Amino acid sequence: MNINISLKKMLVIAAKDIKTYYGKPPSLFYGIVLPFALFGAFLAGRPCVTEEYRVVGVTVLSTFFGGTTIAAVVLPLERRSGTIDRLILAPISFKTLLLGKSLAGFMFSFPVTLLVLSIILPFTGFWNLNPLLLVVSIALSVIFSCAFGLAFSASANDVADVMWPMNFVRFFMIFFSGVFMPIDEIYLFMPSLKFIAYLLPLTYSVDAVYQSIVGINDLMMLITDFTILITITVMLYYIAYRRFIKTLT
Amino acid sequence: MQNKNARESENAGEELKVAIEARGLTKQYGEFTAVNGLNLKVFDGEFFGLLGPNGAGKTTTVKMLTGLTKPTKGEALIMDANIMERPLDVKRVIGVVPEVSNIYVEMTAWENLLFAAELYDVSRGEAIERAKMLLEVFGLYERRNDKAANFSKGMRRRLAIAMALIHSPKVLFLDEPTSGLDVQSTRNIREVVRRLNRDGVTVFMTTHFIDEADNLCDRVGIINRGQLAALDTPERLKQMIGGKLSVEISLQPIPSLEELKEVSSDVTKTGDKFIVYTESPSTTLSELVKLANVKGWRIISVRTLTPSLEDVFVKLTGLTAVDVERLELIRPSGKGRSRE
Ligand SMILES: Nc1ncnc2c1ncn2[C@@H]1O[C@H](COP(=O)(O)OP(=O)(O)O)[C@@H](O)[C@H]1O
Ligand SMILES: [Mg+2]
Repeated sequence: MNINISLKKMLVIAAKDIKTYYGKPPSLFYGIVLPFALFGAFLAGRPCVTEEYRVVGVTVLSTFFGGTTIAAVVLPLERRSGTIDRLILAPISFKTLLLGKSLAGFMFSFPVTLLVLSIILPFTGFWNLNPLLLVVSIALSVIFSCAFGLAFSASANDVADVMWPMNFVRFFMIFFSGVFMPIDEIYLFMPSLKFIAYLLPLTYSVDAVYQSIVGINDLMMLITDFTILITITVMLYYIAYRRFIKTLT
Repeated sequence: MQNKNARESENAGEELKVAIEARGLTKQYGEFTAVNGLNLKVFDGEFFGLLGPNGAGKTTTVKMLTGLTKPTKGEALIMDANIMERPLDVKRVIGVVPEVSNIYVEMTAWENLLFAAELYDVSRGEAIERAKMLLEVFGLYERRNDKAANFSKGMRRRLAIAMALIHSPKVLFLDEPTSGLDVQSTRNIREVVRRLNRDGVTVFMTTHFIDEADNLCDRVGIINRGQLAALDTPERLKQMIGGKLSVEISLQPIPSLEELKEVSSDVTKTGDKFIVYTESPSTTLSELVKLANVKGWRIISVRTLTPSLEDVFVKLTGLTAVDVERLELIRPSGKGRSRE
């Protein structure tokens, strides 16, 4: 089967995006302001949450906010300027186009997250940190976030049309996925609602990053985390693809 | 050059290569039909013009022919390949300049061209060579390292066309390439496109400038309200409205159109003048003079006219010549009606 994806063209598109959006407000915010804000949040974190949990929260927030935001602006910005036509007219498949677009989000959010961690980690106890697993977990979380931002924005003409609904869903997910405190604590008084957490993909990002930092304590759960994140990411890309194709009719 | 007179060889019964074909192309937006059952063939090496007023369906047609939008019905073929079935094969051989200059204003002219080259797999060496050549041709070489954000509308348009040419396309689509541009850019663009066509590139250009269609195109299709009203060479289109000549007359007080229909049923009003189409201008002229005497009208001016593409356009689209001028369908500098 010819899946028609060109890695080279993906890189061409992503490199162009980084060149053009570098220096624009969203990238400045997520590239510079957010890491420092997160570092501050880490230092000022509530004492009732353990230090390692605060590192997990900051890491997941960085991947999720960075990935979703960049991936959600790259398409609408090109639609508004009319330059999207150039990419649609080019001899590349729409899959390559969309993956290239989200690659720009990855190339932004992934290094920024690693940067944030490299600032924070020297202040911590390192625990049983597994560097390879951590990098893989972060990468997966960023890829999922990019797919999420892309699915939201695939048919939008304006950044503003995307941000409002996406922020609503993002904050809901962040709160109920245990980014700020362990899910057992969130649902302490309503344990019957805990199933909500298991419906939200971000919960699995949190667990994967947590196990990479404190050491693997539940291998089955870690495998589940990766499986679910990959499955959801593929589904989100499919949704993005369908929505994108629909704009051409 | 060899295909320049595609239509002539068609008459000679030669097999012609079709570069662009529309088969019953239809586009509906909800209940509204923007383009309705469009059929046309553009031959290899031809310079084809699609002429029509604003909202006629020109852009929608280009979008369907180039894969930017899916037709509701019908098919678009480029070099015998269906754009919906083999999009990548088609996209490799076409260059498209959309209505809005699709350049990246955050990047320099040079970066824009190299990015376009990478999208089309043009090798680095060739890309540099072609980018240089194209920038020179379009008079942008000195400004190559300036961000496109600092470019005027005409410069942006020229850069957009240069980008559409970076991969040496066999078929070039231009959607109103000179609309709203300064005289210098317009001249430059027309000259470059004409030269490209002479070198064998098939050109499909939309325009609402009648003189542009008349001066550049081998054949012109006139589109109005989503339908092709006529398609032929500019000269034949002019003959088509009867090979008829016409008499232009201005009278005081201005009579109604109905009153003039006593002379001929084929009359249109343009501003304060009337155009009476006729086989025999001299007969019509004497009839007009007679009528004017009977009615007591004063003849302010009178002249006989040969048909122009504008007449064809006015006749086929049902727009009056006043509309034509209001819609800026002709440039002030444009070729006017020729005088007998
Ligand atoms: N996306 C769209 N949705 C609804 N109507 C549209 C859309 N695009 C074009 N139209 C309508 O279709 C008609 C033809 O438009 P267009 O092809 O842009 O004309 P032209 O290029 O000849 O000026 C116009 O009436 C326009 O308003
Ligand atoms: Mg148009």
